[in-house]
Amino acid sequence: MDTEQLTGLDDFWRVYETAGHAALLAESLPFGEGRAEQVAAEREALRRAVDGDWSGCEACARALGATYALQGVEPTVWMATVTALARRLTPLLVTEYGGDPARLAAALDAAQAWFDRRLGVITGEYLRARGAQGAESRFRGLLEAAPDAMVIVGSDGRIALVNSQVERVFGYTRDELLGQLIEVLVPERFRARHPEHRDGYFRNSHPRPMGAGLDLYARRRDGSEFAAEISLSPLRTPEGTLVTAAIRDITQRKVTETALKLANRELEAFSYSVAHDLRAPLRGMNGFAQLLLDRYRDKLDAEGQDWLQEILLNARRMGGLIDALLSLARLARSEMRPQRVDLSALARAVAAGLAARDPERDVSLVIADGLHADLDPRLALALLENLLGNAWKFTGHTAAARIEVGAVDADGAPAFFVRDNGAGFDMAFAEHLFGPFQRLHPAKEFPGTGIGLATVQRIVHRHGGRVWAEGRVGEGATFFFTLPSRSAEAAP
Amino acid sequence: MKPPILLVEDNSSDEKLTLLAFRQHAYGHDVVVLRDGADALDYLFASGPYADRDPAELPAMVLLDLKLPRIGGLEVLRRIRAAERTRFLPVVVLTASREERDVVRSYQLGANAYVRKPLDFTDFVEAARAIGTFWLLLNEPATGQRGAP
Repeated sequence: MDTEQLTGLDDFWRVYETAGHAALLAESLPFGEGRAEQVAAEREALRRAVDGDWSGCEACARALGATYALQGVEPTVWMATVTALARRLTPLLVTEYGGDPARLAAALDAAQAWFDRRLGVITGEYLRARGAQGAESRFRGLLEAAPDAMVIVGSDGRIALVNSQVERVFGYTRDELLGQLIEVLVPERFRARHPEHRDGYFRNSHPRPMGAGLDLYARRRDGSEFAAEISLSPLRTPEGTLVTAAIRDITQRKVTETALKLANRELEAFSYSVAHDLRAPLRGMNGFAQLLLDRYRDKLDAEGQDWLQEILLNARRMGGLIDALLSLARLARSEMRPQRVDLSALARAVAAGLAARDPERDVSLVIADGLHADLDPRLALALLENLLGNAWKFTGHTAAARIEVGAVDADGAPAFFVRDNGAGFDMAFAEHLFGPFQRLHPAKEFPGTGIGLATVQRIVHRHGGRVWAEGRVGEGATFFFTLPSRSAEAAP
Repeated sequence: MKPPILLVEDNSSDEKLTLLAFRQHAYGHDVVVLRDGADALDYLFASGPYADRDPAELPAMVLLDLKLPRIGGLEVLRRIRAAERTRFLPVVVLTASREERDVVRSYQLGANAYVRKPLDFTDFVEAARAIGTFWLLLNEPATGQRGAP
């Protein structure tokens, strides 16, 4: 800093100091907080600026900027007050140093530099403070918009922030919770161990459900409890890690789940009783008809024997239906262990099995390479056995039979298909295809239980996929299915 | 006199069919039919209506249905295995159920075999022949279980 500038600042400061600036500042800065302290600080800062140390001035300016931001004073308003102060000082400088134009010019330059700097710092601080405020208000907005009760906890385990859903769900007011240990929301019997779990999470925090596989409970203000689902996620802030806990009351869901479990058990009991109770009378009818046919054949004429054969045929058919229905029910409740399955290899194995059972058939098989999907391997086998078995059966009366297995793109994900050039079906009946015991062909022509495609649909649906069919009578059918990728679902 | 085969079966049609199926393959053993689990236990342990029976006289084998009135087949099996005298008695579960859990439970409780009653009578006769041949002719029962020659 050169001598001239120093002189200028010195002169500027003298005017500022001697012209009763406390009153001036008080008048010009109506938004300043703790005005007396503010003035004293300004005066001290200016004195140091004369010595070339602007940090005090900048600190004062920053404090003012923050005050303006905090009080919501619009920039146009506070800029006007700051420039008004500059305008008030200029005539004082002219009066003081008017006799020496060079000295006046230096003092005015110094004043200009001081105000420019000041305005710059205030503006910067104002915008920063408003920005942070904006971010915080946006954050609070998000917190409030969340459907779950949200509790934000510091590493000391104390509640830093809650949303209004917390008040509704837990029955506490916001003020009662802020600063409390989070354990206040934990049922007494779990409280002792909770700080340890909480510390563990702070040490190794990543978004995850709390207490995976456990039934969690939360405690309301009145001491009552509710079944809760809790997701945790860390929030890194300059002040350290905070943890957000999203708490959902799942009482209703638990009730539904219990009802569902009960319904499933009933269904299981029902299929069990079907297995046992329906088959027993069937065995009686079948067995005695057979005995009659074996031991009293010579007492029956051809027609009588034919009728007995019909009884046997129907009993056997009914047995097949009961078995098919039971295996469908078993399929619906069996446990699933999805994994990566090579559908191409599996389709080849299934096709080889079909060809071996039916060596006189000449079917051209086209199976695309590299078809992979995430599903239970046992169910994958049942899926392909049914689809390929179907294609095999319905090309039974087709010359130059052809079965194709492949995949097409359906909205960015593969839709696998099994296509044949067999009997096909009328698209008008497409929706009946997947119903149990629905048949679009006479049993004489294409025998079967009518359970195959229902099985296919159940397998695909259990994996969260879609299944549909396209066909034309006499030209063949194509069955498409999608299986959502597990890796896409598991992405954080 | 050979020890009898004990058939525990509540369905009269199944009873007749089983008797017919075993007619040629009982190898000289009589078939005693009991129609519920409680009766079967009374017979085996010589209690209740069978109090005057000698409990040391055990059947050559038990053909046990699972779904029975009063006391179910699995419970009958459990009590047979729990008693010292009947611990090694050959028990063949003969049932309509193909439920995995019934099969597993039966073996857990110590069933010697699990046979699903075939729907087709020819198959039933074949099953009876296989059961009879194995358990009455080929199988060597534990001491004290052997039938009279």
